[in-house]
Amino acid sequence: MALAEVAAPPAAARRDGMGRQGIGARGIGPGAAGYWFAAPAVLLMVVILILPVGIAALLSFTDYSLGNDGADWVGTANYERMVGSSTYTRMLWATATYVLVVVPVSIALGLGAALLINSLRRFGDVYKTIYFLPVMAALLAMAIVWEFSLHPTLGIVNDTLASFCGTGIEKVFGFFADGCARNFPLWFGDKDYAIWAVCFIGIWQAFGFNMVLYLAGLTGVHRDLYHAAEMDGAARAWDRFRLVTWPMLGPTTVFVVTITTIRSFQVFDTVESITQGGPAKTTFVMMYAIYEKAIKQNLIGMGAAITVVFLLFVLLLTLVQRHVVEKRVHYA
Amino acid sequence: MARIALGGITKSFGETAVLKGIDLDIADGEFLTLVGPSGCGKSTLLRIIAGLEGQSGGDVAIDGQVVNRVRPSRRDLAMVFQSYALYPHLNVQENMETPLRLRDLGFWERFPLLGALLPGRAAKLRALRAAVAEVAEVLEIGHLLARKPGQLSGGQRQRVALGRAMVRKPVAFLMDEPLSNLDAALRVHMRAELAQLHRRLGATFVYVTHDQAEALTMSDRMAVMMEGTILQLGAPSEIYRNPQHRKVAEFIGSPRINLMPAEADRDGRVVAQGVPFQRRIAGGARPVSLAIRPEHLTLDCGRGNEGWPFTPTHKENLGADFFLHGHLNGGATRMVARATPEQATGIPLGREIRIRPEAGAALLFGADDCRIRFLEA
Repeated sequence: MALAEVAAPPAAARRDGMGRQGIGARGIGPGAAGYWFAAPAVLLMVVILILPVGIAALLSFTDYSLGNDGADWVGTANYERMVGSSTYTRMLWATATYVLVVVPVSIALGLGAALLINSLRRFGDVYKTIYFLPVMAALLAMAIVWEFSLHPTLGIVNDTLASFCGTGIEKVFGFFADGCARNFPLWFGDKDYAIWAVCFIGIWQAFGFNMVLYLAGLTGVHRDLYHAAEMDGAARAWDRFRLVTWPMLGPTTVFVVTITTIRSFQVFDTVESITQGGPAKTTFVMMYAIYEKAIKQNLIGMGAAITVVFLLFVLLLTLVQRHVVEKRVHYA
Repeated sequence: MARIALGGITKSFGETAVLKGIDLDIADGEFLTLVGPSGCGKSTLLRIIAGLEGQSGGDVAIDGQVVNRVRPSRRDLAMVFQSYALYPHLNVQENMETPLRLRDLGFWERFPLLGALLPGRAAKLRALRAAVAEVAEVLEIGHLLARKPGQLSGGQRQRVALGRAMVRKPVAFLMDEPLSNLDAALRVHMRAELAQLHRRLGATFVYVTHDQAEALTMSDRMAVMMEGTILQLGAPSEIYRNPQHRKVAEFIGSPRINLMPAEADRDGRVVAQGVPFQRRIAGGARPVSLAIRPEHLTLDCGRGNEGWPFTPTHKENLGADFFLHGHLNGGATRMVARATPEQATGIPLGREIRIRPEAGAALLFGADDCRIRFLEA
């Protein structure tokens, strides 16, 4: 989406310029003026967008390290390593898990919260503030709070879980039986739980933002449509949701999905401050991988290769989203 | 198909009373118009009938059944909104199918994918498509069925909104200023079509408008509403000829009825701006208001000195008629008089002529705005 939007204005400007003959009549030929008008935008776009991406793409075929005089062309070796090595397979798994969990859950929760708040007559603002707080807070600071809360021995979460031991609940849920008999999960230290704990923080942080976007979207739904639906016989809330709310929120949903997906691909703070990609690379998400390879280990070529793959994912997403928008979403 | 009875309907938003006790009986198959200036509570009243808004007091009964606690979707009424309220993501066919789908298909039959597996659904769908096709033919929108509302003109959207209301064959139609978003020519055209449609369907129509012309042209009866009460209820011709309240007289009729201060003496003889009237009223001396419609004034361009001296300052050409705007006695009382084109061409602006009221056409209103009848001679 971002790429497509930046590319649009210069193209439009050029088309306008071509139409106006005579502006560039001082011997430069007709239409030249249009190119001059478009030039600053095109230049900026090339310098700050296309050029860096191009350089990154070039670097991904080398073994360049920062400080070296030169670099050797290694062809597709960096990419082959990414396909072959289990570290990078895990990176893709961790990233995919994070995106596929955080995006749908945070959107569903955001929409649910927005619908509930929208139906309130009072206290709506209180809930809005509470749910939006995580968005405003620095994720890094919040990650530390969650790290403490989920600490295996000191954390409030495991303390609370342990307080249920002996109430008979361990006979019903195997989870409690295990926890009470031995110990409750290590969360960030356990490779079966770490990525889910990271996802949880991601959802907790993202859904407030989605909620605000949906609340804004809901204010744009014409009240008459709900009345018309009611008159047409939509007595159930579900019918009105399917007939009016959900289609009318289409444009909002497209935006929310795009933003949340891109932000989920970019998750870094939580991983960096709590797990550093561990345990056993289960939380080794792409952004963290780029940081570890390119910055910490000074393997610029490898980092660039991951960056290119990352960009491809985002680009693919943009194309799919644009396709869906043109086909399915109704803009009133 | 339905008799709607309103008994003592009140509605207040906080401190403000919007409806102050409305009693109204709407007969089966009647075309009743609620007309009044904006803010008089007519739309609120319609929404209360529909159930979209709850009344603060009073009862709504449809065919003798009090429906105060029945939700809108169960009252079997259809509504046409000013904004049309078509579902913008559905095409015309789907828009018109919606009320039938919601009524005739069960919850699971409407469920995406899964619903298609249920037996009997195909037959129901065929039936409702046939119903849509039939209504589309009546409204001449058959060629638009595949289009989305965004691709339609205002008049076409209006027809689709009507179609969506008609397919379900509701007991009554509620219309909330359905023509006010159309251009003038189309509005006049749709006025005739709606009246014809009403005759054809024979259903009860409750129509809300602020346009007195729509009320006069279409309705069987009209209720003139002001400030939350019905000032007068009756046939359009009756309300036009015989308004019971000064505000009704002023609101109904275009151009507006002429009003001027007048005096009644001890014997009940009325004198307005120096012109005495033959008929008398009961009661002693008091100030009154005299009202007379522009078409009930006779122009006298000759030497005569009967009637009021009138100086026209502006001629309004409506083709078949001219309206002369001017003032009386060179004073502050503004008047509008109707003239034929032949008369109007002979009258120069700024020159004083005489106008006099036709016999029996003047209306009198007291200081309380209520009508005062002349005594029979």
